[in-house]
Amino acid sequence: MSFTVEAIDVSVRYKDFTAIDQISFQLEAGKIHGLLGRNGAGKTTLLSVLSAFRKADGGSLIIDGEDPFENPRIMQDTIFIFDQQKDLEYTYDKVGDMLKEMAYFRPNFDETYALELAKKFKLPLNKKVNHLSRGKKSAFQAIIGLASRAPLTIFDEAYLGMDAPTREIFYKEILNDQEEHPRTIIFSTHLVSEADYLFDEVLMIHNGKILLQDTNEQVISKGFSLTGSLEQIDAFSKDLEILNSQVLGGTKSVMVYGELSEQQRNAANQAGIEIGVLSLHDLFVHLTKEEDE
Amino acid sequence: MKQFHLGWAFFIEQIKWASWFYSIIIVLTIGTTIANHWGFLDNLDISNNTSTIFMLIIGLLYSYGFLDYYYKLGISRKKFFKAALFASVLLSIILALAMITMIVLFETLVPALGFAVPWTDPLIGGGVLSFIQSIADYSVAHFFYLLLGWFMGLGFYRFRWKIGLLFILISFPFFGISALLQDKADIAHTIKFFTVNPQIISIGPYLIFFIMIAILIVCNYRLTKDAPIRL
Repeated sequence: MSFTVEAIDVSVRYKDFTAIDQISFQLEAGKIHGLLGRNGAGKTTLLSVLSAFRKADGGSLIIDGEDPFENPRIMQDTIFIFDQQKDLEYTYDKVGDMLKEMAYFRPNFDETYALELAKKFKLPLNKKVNHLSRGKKSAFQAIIGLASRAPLTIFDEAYLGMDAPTREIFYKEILNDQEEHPRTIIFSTHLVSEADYLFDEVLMIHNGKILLQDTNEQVISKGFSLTGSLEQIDAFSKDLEILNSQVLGGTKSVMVYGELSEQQRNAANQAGIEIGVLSLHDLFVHLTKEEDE
Repeated sequence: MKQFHLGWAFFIEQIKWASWFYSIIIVLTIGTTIANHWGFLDNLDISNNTSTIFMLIIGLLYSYGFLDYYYKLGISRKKFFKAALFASVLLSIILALAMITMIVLFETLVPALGFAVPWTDPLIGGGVLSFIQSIADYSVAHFFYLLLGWFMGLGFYRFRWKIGLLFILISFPFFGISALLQDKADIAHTIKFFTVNPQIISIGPYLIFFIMIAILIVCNYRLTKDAPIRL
C-alpha cells in the first residue's frame, strides 16, 4: 500500500519569512522521490507539512485522497524520520524493547525485519537507546523507518552520523524492501551523488519554490556537457542555457541545461565537440547556484 | 493503537515515575520522623503539597515529553488529548489513594514504634467519611495541578519562552484561588458573607474547583488541537 500526495499552492510563513511559497506538485504512489534543495530551501518545512507536524498557512494538501492534518488514518500510516538525536538522548529504553513497541503504533511494522536490520546495522538490542553513538542512533531511526513499512515514508537526512558503509547498507535496504513492499518514499538528502541511484523521481526546491520535478532519467537527460576548442564551444553554445563553464588553455568545457535536437547533436559531432552527460549532483549544484556565488 | 490502550500505556508510564516519587517521599518522611524524634528538626509540620507539586511537574512535561513522543509515533493530537485526559484522571485518583493509604499506614505504625507522627491534624481520627473526603480532595487537587502544569507547558511548547512566561502569569490566579479553596475554614468564613446555606458552604469550593478545571480542559484542548510539533 502506498499513498499519493498532491500539494496545491501550499505556503508556510514564519513571521515575515516565507519558507514555502505557493508550491504545487504531485507525487506518484509507490515511487522513491528524491527531495533536493540547498540549506534553507524549505525542504524540512515542506516535509513537516506533509507529515502534518504543522498546518500549512495557505493552499491545500491531499494525501491518499484526504487532508492529512489530524487525520488518524493518514497519520498512523505516515512516518517522518529526521534527526532526532536530542529526543533520543532522553530515551532510556533498550533498543530491542523500543523496536518491539513500534508494532503497537505502526500497523505494518515488521518486527522480524526490524531485528534483521538491527543485525545488519550491528545495533546491540540490549543497549539503551540514549547510550548509542550518533551514527547508531541514526541507524536505529532508519530501522524504524524501514520496518514500519508506512505507505508514506519520509527520510529527511536520516543518514546523519552514519559512516559510508552503513549508509550503503541503508540505501540497499531501501531499494530491496521497496521492491518487495512498495510504498511512497520521500528521501531528502544533501549527498546527491551518493544517493541519486535510489530516486525514481526528483523534486528540486529552491528558495521555497519548485525548481523542477521530473523522473530521474528525464532530469539527467536535460543536462549535458560540451567540450571542445574555445572558439567552437563559444560558437556552438551561444543560444544554449549555460550552467557553468571552465577553460583550460585553448579547451573549453561547458555545462548546459536543456535538450539538444538530433540536428544539433550531428553538428556537434561533425565539429569534433564532445558531448558528455551530467550527473544529478552537477545539475543540482549549478541549478541552485546564486548569482553572487 | 486503540484509544483505551493508548490511555492505559500513558497511565502506566506515569505510574512508573510516580512510584519513584513515592519511594523518595516515603524515605524522606521516615527520615523526618526520626529527625523529629531525636530533636534534629523541631516541630516540623510536613505539608501535603508534595504530590500536587509532582502532578504540576508531570503536567509541565505533557507537551514537551508526551505529546511530542506520541505524535512522532503517528498519534493524532485529538487522540493524544483524550488519552492524556483519561490517564491524568486515573493518575490523580490512584495517587490520592496511594497518598491517603501511606498517611494512614504511617499514622498507625509510627506511634506503635514509639515515634511521633511529624504532622498535625492526623487523618485517622476523622473516621471513614474523612478518609473518603480526603481521597476526593486529593484527587481533585491532583487533577487541577496537573491541568495547570499542562497549561503552562503548552504555553512554552507552542509559543516559546516569552509568551510561555505569560502563561505562568495567567496561572497565578488559579494557584491563588486553589490555595484559598483548600483552606476550608477560611473559605467557609468568606462564603458566609454571601450565604448561610450550609450546602452551598460545603459544595461551593468544589464547584469553583470544577469550574476552574473545566476552563483548563477547554484551554488545553484548544492549545493542543493544532499545536505545531517541534522538530
